[in-house]
Amino acid sequence: MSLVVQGVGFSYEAGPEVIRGLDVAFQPGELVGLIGPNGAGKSTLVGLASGVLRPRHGTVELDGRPLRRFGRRELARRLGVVPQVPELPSGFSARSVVAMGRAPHVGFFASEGPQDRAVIEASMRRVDAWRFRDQPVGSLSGGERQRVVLARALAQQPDWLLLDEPTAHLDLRYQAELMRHAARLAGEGLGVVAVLHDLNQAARCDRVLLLDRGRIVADGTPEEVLRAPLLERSFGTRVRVQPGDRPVVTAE
Amino acid sequence: MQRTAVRAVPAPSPRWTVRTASAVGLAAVVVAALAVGSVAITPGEVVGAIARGLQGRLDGAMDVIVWQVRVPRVLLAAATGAALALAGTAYQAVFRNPLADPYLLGAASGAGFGAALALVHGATWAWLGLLGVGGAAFLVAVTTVVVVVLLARRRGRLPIVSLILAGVVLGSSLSAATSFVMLADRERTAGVLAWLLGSFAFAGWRDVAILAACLVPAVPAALAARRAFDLLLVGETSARQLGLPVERFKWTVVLGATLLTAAAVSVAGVIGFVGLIVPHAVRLAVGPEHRELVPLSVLWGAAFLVGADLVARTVLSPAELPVGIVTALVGGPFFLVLLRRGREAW
Repeated sequence: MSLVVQGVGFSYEAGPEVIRGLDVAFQPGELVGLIGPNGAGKSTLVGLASGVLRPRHGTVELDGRPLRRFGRRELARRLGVVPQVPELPSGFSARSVVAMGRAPHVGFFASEGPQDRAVIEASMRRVDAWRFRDQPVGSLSGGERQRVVLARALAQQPDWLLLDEPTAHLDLRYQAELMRHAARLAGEGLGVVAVLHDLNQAARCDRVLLLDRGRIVADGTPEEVLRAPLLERSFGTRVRVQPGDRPVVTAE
Repeated sequence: MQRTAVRAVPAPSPRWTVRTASAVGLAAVVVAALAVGSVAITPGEVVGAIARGLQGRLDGAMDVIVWQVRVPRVLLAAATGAALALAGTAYQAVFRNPLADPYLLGAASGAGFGAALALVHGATWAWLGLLGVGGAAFLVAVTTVVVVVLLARRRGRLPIVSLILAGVVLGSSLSAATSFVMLADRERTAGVLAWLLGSFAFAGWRDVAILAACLVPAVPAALAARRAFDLLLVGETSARQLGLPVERFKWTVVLGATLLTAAAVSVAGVIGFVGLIVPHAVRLAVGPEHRELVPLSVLWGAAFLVGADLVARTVLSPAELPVGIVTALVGGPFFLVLLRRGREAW
């Protein structure tokens, strides 16, 4: 099992290329942090890897089969996405939003069965969202909403999880908790790719990719990638790194 | 705190209470509409006349009034209300816009233009006469929406903004054309205007059959697609990532809702407000999930229009108001009250 991006180039409409000749392979059981300055192409890469954006050049393949050969439902059973700014219809209960994650399994014209209900409950309990299952999502805090969306992706029972800045709206406690969830899911054999703004969250990953102007400029363990010269060149600012197993990065 | 105050999600049993109450409410309005009119008829007589009508043996003037005039009129009002409310629900989901209504893509202005042409030139242009007012309205309405969709299409996709813009622009042009047709023949202006405002005064069994033929497949299809409608509400990208073939679904819904709207308009004229406010009223009452929204919109739409027609033909009796005026006059304030009382639904 693998998710492979091969020689991919992409541009929005007639704009400049935001992803250029990009090659990367993701493995199951791996938590990958995707870092880089604004406009580096991180979210675009998530769009390409989830099949909602079509590469101009190259291919994205899941188990050796190009994504465009997959039906939408088939792909949604393999690959769950937590978007950067999730749009949630405010009158829906948290549980109803998570139940949407069952759509690729149940179909759009059938009702959920006991198995689906069990998966929904397990997904919500897992991220501690079950206790506010009946509340309308419009009344939830940013962090609670984020967990609802993560539970929705889990309810898809995917092999791959793509998280686009999942910690952006979370406070310190839930940031740490979400990264622990991600690491645990990877430990269970899922392939997890997370766009991360906070470089210190990236330090918790198994592998870090540094993206800059549509290219991968560094790919390795946190220790290898979170180094001052590399980061300074991409982010254009002076940084201080306390080296170690989990490096700590601060901007000067 | 605020957060607990908004906490109000219908549990399974209130859900059935609302559904049952809505069905009973619709039945009550229907019975009232059958009994009340220029000739007062008791509910018992209404039931008797319907029973005899179903067996094909009408007995006396009372039976004829009920079976040939009131029953088709009430059924047509109910079917039109259901069709417009269902089409409105579908359009609002696809466009994710609270202002979307069944006429957004030009179905109403197209139908109005077709009807105006037929009313004014039907006697001189043979093919128009053959189509009839309803036929011309249906044909031009569907053609208008097809043109709007083709104009808005970009690389096989249907971007919402270009759809709305194309619909508004083409709709305005057709309204202008309708005005021109009306002004060119002032003798028939009143007739065109009356058609444009909608009426069930000339309802017959044929109209009922046409609209029923559209509703019978549309309602179960919309009920079955409730999950897909829900998915559209999380945005097109997320809907795709959750497995919905968004573009194909949008095309299907726009096509289906347009046919339904055109059929309703062709038999009843352009009745405003139903397709806009009924889905909103339901949303304010039970929330935005389509599992509730679809069936209740159908029931409430039917009840609302039967009631509005009852008002239209009794308030100035023996004269009749165009029902479109009643829906706007009654529906507007009713909706504002709901809006003030209700919780946030969008």
